[in-house]
Amino acid sequence: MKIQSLAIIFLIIILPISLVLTSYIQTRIDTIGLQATYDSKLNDATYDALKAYQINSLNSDTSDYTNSKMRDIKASVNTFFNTMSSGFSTLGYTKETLQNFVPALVYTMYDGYYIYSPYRNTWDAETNDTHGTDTSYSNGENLYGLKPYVYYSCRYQKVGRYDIVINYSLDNYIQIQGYVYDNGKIKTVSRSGHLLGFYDSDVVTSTTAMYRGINITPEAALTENICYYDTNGNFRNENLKYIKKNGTKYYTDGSKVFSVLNGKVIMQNNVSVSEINSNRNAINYYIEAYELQQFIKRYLGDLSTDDIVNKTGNEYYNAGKIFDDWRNIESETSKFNTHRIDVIKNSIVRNLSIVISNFNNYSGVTTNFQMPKLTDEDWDKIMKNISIITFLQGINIGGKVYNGYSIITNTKNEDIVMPDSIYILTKNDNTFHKITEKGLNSQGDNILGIYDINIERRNIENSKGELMYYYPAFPSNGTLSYGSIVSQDNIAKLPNQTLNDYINNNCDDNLKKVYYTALARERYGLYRQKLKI
Amino acid sequence: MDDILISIIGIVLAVILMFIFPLMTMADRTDDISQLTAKVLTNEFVDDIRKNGKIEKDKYNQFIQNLGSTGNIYNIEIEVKVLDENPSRRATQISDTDLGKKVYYSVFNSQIEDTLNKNKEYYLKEGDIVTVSVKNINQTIAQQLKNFFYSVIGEEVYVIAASHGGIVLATGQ
Repeated sequence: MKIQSLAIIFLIIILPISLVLTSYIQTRIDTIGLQATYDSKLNDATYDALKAYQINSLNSDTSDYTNSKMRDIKASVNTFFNTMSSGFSTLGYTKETLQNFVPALVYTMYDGYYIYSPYRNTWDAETNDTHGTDTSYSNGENLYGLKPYVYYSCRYQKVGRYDIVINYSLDNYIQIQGYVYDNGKIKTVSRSGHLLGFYDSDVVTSTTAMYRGINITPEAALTENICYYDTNGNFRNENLKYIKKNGTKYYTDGSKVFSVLNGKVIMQNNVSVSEINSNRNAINYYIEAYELQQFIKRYLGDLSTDDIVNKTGNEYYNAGKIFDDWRNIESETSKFNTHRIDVIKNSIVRNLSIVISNFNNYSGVTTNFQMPKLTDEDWDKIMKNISIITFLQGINIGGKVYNGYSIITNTKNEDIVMPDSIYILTKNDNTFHKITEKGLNSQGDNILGIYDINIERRNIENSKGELMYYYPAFPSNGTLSYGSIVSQDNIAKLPNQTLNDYINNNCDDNLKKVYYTALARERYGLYRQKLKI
Repeated sequence: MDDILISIIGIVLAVILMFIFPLMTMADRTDDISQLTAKVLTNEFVDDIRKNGKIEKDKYNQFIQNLGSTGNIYNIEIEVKVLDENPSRRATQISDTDLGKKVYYSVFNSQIEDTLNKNKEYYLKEGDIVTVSVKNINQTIAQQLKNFFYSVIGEEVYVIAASHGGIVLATGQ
């Protein structure tokens, strides 16, 4: 055969193979490119949702209360779907279509979480009788909404000793409710507080407190800028002394005490001017923690993971007694923390798996929705602060079906005071620093601990109807440190060192006192629902 | 004589069709796959930085290694635009209806790598902007084959490029 004929035959064989291969690889390339784009869009939409929640909650005086929170979350969900639909609009997806691909949105809060997902609206007999058929939200209709709040809780029972439920949170705060046996008699209990690693030498009485060798003393009054309309309707912008108790800030002009709700003054008489002038929040925090520790040592000292009620299989790590090492109870590797993370994880995974697999009944999409496995890094992020977890599944991206999720953490919120939320203000130059910055030791009275949320911008409509901005605790010539806040290149803490470790080993007593006092003061001032028995 | 000429032309054509053409096609496909790999790796690296708020030395080295597995050498440029809120805060305090302007200053590879070598992590905060762009600096097989027929002259001659950036979503701790 002539070589030309061979060449033609070769070409006839190779050319189609080459074309098919090119087409296949191009499809794979498009699929993976689309997947990366969708991941980015999902992250952006989740971040927008978080920003919406952040802005609404920071500028609201009632953001601690449940109905305000639910309102802020619903607004945040709307923002999420709006951003998603604008991101996907070029592909023809509207907000209503995209809802079929989002099985759930989870808002993890301080001591529990909300899940936003579809449900079937079911009327009871009375509603059936009173409402006609031409109403919105009719019986049997599939609606999207917020499911009831689920606490991070676990029940423990030991016959003859205790039957209690412990509600955990994202830090060491717990609530204990149930009953214990006191000398054979049943005693109903409701206690709450932070679990702290006091030294054996720390002395705590009903009026004084010591923590890790540092004597905690009452603080002089804190001041902050506040804009409000007084009782005569005049707009005022003043720097006033205040104290924060149970989520509300009480201000004083020296003679009377009031709080500000939606820009208007509400007179208060349950907080005195002397309480504001001598702030004992920090002392009360340590006293509460110490009393809780004594209570647990007396009644729940041998509480262990074996006492968990309704445990099925290996869902909980067998940590044994969770309250046996008090010195290291705040450490991330303590048995208490390991068990706390376990309880939170199990609760979220259990409910979320059910919600996502039930989504198959509501979505018009022919995809099997399943909960993806979250990595350890993801759980680490969820445990660090309140977060939003979003899921997007079922969209066809060429070679396969998209299945992704996004976790974004909200680091600016008033629900939780994390150990790194306290800034150190050096009064001589009005500069805010993180506690891990170099050069903060040996400052004497020059330093003050400030909660980072208090230096975030707030807004209010002034008497001219203009939107005006102000910073509550940021002085007029204040600066955020370029070494630890704007950029973080002057940090003394080593990368693998925990913050607790750094404070114990690298900070002098004065810095420790300022930090511990500020952290305790802010934590004690947060809104916490407490059942008093 | 004519027969020989036609035969030689035929042989040359045959060689081109049987060897050069498939080789060029396969080399182009390899470049496409390298392009895809670079794009996916860059996207994942940047999204990781944005979500965690820090550039970790281990992850950066892993990124470079994974890029190298495509068989090419790349020039990686990282730019971090650090948000400085101090000027906007001062502007608001002077005039309370003025939001002020956000100021960004840029930090590039050498400063970031310096910090990574000293501290193993480069921390960012929420609001900073990070951009990573990757370009190949070697000649791929496809480029070498194409250079037989035409050559591309210029300062930057690359076929594989990927770029991704975005705002940092959480402060690194």
